[in-house]
Amino acid sequence: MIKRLLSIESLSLNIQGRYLLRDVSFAMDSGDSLGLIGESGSGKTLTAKAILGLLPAHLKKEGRIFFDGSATINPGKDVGLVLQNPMTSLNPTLTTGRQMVETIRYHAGVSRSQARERALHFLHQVGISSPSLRFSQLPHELSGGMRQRVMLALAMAPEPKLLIADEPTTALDASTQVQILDLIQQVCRETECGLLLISHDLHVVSYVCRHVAVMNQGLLVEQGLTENVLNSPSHPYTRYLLEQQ
Amino acid sequence: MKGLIGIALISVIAFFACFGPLISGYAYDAIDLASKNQAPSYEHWFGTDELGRDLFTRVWQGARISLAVGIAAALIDLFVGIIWGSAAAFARGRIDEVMMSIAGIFYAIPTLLIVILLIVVLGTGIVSLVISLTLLGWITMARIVRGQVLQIKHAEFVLASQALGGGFFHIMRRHLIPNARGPIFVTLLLTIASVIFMEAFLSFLGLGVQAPMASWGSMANEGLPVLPYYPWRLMFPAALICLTILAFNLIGESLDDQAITQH
Repeated sequence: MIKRLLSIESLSLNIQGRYLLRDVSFAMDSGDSLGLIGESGSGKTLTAKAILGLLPAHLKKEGRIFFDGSATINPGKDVGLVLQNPMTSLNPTLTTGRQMVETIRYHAGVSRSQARERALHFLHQVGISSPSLRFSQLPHELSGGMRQRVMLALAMAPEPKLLIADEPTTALDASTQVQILDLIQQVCRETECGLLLISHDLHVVSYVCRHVAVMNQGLLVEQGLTENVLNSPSHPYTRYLLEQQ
Repeated sequence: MKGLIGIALISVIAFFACFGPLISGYAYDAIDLASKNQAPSYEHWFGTDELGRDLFTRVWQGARISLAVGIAAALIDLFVGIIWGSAAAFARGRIDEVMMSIAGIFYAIPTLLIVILLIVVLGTGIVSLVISLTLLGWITMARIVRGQVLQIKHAEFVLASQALGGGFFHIMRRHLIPNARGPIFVTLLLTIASVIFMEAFLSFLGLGVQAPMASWGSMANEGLPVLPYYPWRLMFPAALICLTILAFNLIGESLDDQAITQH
């Protein structure tokens, strides 16, 4: 049975009357994958932050966000987040293991050794070949791709129902990009987790996502099945994006 | 190199502060009028004062007080500074402005004036010494911490931690302070040095530690009038004040140098 996971109803954000997001509405079913696409400043990341409830306080929000039928979202527990730059999204002073164990214990309330076991399991799941070695290393000792894997393991550790990946491969080189995208897809499929992938790259979105939503200057201009949107775009901005690629 | 010299100096001073009064064989307040104002000798390594008290014992007894006051005051500064600075940096906006203006107003008051006033009100003694030294001392730390937190709080790992459900105190403890520990530690060491100097200075003026307790400042005060006749009475406490402050500054500076070359 397909359940509605996330629905955003006419979300608007303004800062002193100037609108950054205007009337954005879209919905996702559980286990589905949606690509949010648009150029820099089009409001993709703001939408993601709004879902997570991490908006700066001076932004005024209108509209409603429902997650799994309820209006409250538990960041981490319900929704995981993977950020663009794996060089800066891990704390440089904590070992990977420490960051994972803390996250797991915070959300699952298990003992230190249980959390350690789970952390090793998650690291293995994201394709890190020697988890127990990487467990005790600091972020600067890992490569970019490996850090993004750790980041993914960290986001998936509380077993969220939705993963938001904000430009997860932009900072990586081409071959690592494909590996990470495959991995994200695979992990989401295995855990039946929904995926909201934010990217400016049409190739990335068409490679991963079943649905796509196109944003431009704070407006959601077009959405639908990826193949439909990419094959017969109805909005001029989508056509423009396609020509650019 | 600088840092190692500093650490060696501190270790020696701390060792004698702990064990000096025990190995001398004299009590710091034992009066022996038969052997007053003696020059340094095998019996009395640093000589004696006008009541025949052993200066070696008194100097290290004074070291205990100077170090204790310095470290206690610096730790209080650290504690208050971290809370104040990080709260201001996190709140931003009006609250930040008000908090840092309060700090600025405190900073504008001449330190010595307010310290002397406070000691007059609170009475002399170690506790009022520490209170009056920390009342203005936390501002530097608060400013440093605020600057660091402002820099780090927009790092993506902080956002990631928030996205994983981490609260203010968790982020403070796990992400912000560990990543700002370099500058915080340097400031802490320099604070200890300046607090030790202030303590010596106040005791020299007679506002600090009272007789028969010994402090480097009060001993220097007693030694000054008799400088032409018994120079060792000023020499030893003065030298120790200089060496201790030098040592803390050396460690602080070498850490600062390392931080600069790392970036």
